[in-house]
Amino acid sequence: MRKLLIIPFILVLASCEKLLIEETEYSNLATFDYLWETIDREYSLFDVKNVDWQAIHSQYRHRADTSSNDIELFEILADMLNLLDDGHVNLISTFDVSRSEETFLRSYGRQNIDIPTVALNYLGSDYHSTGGMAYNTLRDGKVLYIRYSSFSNNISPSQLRFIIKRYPNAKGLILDMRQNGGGYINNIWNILNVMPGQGQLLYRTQIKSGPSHDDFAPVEAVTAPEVDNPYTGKVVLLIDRGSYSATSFFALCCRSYDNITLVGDTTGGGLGLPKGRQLPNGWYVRYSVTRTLAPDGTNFENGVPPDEVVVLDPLSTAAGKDNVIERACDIIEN
Amino acid sequence: MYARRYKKNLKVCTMALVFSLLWLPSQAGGDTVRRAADCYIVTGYGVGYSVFCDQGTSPLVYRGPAAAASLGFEADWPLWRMSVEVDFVGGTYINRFQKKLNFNNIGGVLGLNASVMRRVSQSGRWSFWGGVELADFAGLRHNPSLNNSSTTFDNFALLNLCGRVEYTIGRWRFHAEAEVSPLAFSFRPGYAFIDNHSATNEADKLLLDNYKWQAGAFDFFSTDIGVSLELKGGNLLGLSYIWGMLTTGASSDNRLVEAAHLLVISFNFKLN
Repeated sequence: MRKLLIIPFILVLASCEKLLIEETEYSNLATFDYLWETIDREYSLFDVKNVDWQAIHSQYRHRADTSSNDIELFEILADMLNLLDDGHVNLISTFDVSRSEETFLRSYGRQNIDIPTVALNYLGSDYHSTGGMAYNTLRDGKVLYIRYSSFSNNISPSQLRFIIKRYPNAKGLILDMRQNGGGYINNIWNILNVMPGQGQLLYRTQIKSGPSHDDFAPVEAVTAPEVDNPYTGKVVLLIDRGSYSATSFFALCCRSYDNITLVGDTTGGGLGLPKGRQLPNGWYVRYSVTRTLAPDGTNFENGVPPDEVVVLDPLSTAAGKDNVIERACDIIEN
Repeated sequence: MYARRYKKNLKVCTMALVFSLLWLPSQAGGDTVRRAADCYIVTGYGVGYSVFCDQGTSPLVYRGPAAAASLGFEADWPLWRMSVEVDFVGGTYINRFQKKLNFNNIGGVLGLNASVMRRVSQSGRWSFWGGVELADFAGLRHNPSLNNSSTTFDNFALLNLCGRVEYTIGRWRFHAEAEVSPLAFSFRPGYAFIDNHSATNEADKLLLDNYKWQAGAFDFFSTDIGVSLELKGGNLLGLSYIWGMLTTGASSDNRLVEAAHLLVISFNFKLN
């Protein structure tokens, strides 16, 4: 009979998963603590955000604890996250998605483009579209104008080569990425695979690797792809504060190309790659876990500056002109 | 450096365990007579449910339906039993908080294991077996809703100790078996999920650099209680309740606990 004791022993063993799995407490305080600690341990950009995260803990914890419903809790947690002023930091629930209000205001409050003017007077009704790029020629075919409004629209190197070859008389091209809020980073490399890269350093990047704010894994150097038969004409990249995330990465890369000039306004930044977690109450949080440094060590997290600042002139727009595009055309023609 | 040292220790422990088994005293002297092995193709199909908690992704515990399949080869001698097996357990994890956001994870674990067991005692219809197993479990999980869409993988390399009790009555054989891993190596990410939106070679490298081998103990537990019936020609038909759990333990940063409870039907086809 003693031999049968093996069976209850095995059943006890089979229940030991309960010892290791703790059902997480679902309370406002548990959600707040988990969120605050996650950001404290894994967020990668405290050094450029000038935020005292410890002080924020005491400032917001009691408010979160005493919030009376989900909407109130969401607003408190979103307010706390918004102090990071990072477009890659979001709180996501079934009923709302938080965003950095500062980033939003920078993007839309300082738009350096008038879309109807561009659509009507530069792309025109006879524009073409390939791989998410809308394009036409300006100044009697001497300038190729390409509007790329989102990195979520996939473009392949062969598609971009096709666009360029279609206009052999163009002396240069304008890549208009104003208000391009980012998307798939792969498309950066698809575009750069047409540009005259020679293995030059584009940027360095590091991922957060430990609980302290300055715990980072070793630096990864990112270099330009070496390209056969690249496009060697002049390229002008148009950017503004709405050029965010992947577009900022692209602008940072373009600084290392001799034939590319950045024109317009500083980008919106967003050079930290995002990661997410679920919270104890079922919501999600998204936050940056990497930092990106220019070849000279500068962290352009808050925006990549243009080589030449050109602000959109309302008088020009009223006359149906985009003075930023006009300046880009001048750079190419001269 | 630590991983290399532990790998060396793993080899030493494996050899020590195998050799110690060779010298275990036989309780049934008559069975030491050499005999050709009974060889089987072993197949199993199971359904049940899984329990999943990956703290690198979510502090919540998820449960959902699971299914399993296995294919292997087994050779039985009166005193020895050797087997090699490939297992697959797949599960989906459905959001417990129906009013919250979707977390509809789907994942699977592919296992490859080889074991040697020796009968250490026999008393009437009872027989007792002990042995060692080398196993490797590779897991892949996909979450279509987290971070746009995310994928992660992990791997466990294990040295397991196995104990088995059998009670044979006529053509019926009842069994209870337990496995634990005194030595284990888990390969897990510092960050559990890669955001497919930003997945480029460079981003993948950054994130994959955070995968690391970690040595531990008791990362794997398994129990198996069941019965098998010997059919014509020596084939075996069996029914078992199997519970298995992989875990990185209670203290790791991105703790994983993944368990499956399965009702498994097995067919062992005799080859000779």
